[in-house]
Amino acid sequence: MDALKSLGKTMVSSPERQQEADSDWDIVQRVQAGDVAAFDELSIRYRGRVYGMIYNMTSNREDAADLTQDALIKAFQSINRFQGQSSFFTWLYRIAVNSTLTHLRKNRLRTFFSLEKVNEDDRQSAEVIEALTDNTGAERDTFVKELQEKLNEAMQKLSIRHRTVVTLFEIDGLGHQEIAEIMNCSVGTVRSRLHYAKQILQAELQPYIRK
Amino acid sequence: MRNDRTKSQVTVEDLLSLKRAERPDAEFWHQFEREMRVKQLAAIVEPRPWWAPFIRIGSRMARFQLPVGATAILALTFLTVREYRLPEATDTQFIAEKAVAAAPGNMTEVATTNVVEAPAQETRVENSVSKSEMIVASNVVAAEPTPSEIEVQPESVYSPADEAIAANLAAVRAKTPELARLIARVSGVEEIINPRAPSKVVDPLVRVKAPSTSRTSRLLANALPATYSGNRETRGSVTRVERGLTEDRVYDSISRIGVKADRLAISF
Repeated sequence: MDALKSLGKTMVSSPERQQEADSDWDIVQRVQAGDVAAFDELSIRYRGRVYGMIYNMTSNREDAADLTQDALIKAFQSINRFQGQSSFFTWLYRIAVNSTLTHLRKNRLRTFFSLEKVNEDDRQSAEVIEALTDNTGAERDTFVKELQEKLNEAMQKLSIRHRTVVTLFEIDGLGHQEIAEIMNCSVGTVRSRLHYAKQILQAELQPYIRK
Repeated sequence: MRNDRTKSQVTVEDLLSLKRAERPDAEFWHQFEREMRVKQLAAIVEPRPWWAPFIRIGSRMARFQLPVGATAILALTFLTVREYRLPEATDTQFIAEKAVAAAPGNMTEVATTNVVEAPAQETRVENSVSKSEMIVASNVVAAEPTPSEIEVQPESVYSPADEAIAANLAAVRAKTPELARLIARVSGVEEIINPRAPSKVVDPLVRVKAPSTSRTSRLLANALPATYSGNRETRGSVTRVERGLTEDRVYDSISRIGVKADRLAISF
């Protein structure tokens, strides 16, 4: 509980996050008062971020969709016990991460890729693709698809713990402290796992890395 | 730092940023919304199982798994070790008390005699002491738990099961002596029911006959085929010799007049 409180404080540090947390708390109170439909607002607000995190950990869009729904349903069922000691997003995020870790441990030997399409409207990803290939049209699409598959293969070669750290830090943009609190380990452990995971990824993705 | 990346520089972090751009389309979210609605309604309608609160409590107690488990194992071990002897002693005592209650006269007599013997056995424990005495002595100790007798009990070399069987037999004997005698005769434990004075110790080798005795008997049996011997050793040999006779010879021995090729024999 203490870890959750401190996690809530860290994640609600910026003014925007604080505003968002206050807004969430109002909606939560409405749901707790019996306005079940109000939960849809929370669901629509956070489903994309939760889905993105789970998808990057599982590399399977169907599993990610199911786990996101399960996490939201769990949050809905337990919302009466939510007392606002952390932000709603933090609370939901913890539920989602725990569900995903349980799912990954159960299905450790079963790995199927089911990938989303890369959205090239994103400026940063467009830059990276442009740095890697000069091709256009169908050849470019083929290259992007191949790169995407290699990237997911490399991620799946990491252990669950290392993959979680990489997902939370590099893709979701959480800080070391936040990850340490979520994963119930020290910051040093997070750094160590991140370093080790990057070494493996670097070895796996060597053909695409240019220095 | 990433913004300063030139066209030729691509790092692992840059490659991982591509994963952020993997986003589902709008159709996916429509489908997601429909499924989510169904699950949400099911969650509202479906009653929570009665064990759900226990699961929650269990998950909260998960951090105490190790100490609680270790304590439980230690407590179980302690109780098992502590209670190991008690039920056996209680059972034996209970059966013995029942037996004494059923037959006060006989058992008291046996009890007094054997209890008197008990202190003597206490001083020198010998292997030659018969089993029956010890069992009856232990029963008596159980029947009349005076302090001096209780001290004798731990020295018993017999298991609680032996003592329980002896107590049962004593109870049967007290109620139905005929049945007890029959059981003793059939099972060969008469000595346990009717304890006697310890028999004289006999060297087992003395009981074994010399091999020359049986050999002599066999030879004598061959020499005297018509003689019936009551001796067990020779009886078998006689039978074997008799079986060796032919029927003609037996028939001839019956007839008084025998005619053979060149002779005529008349028996008187």
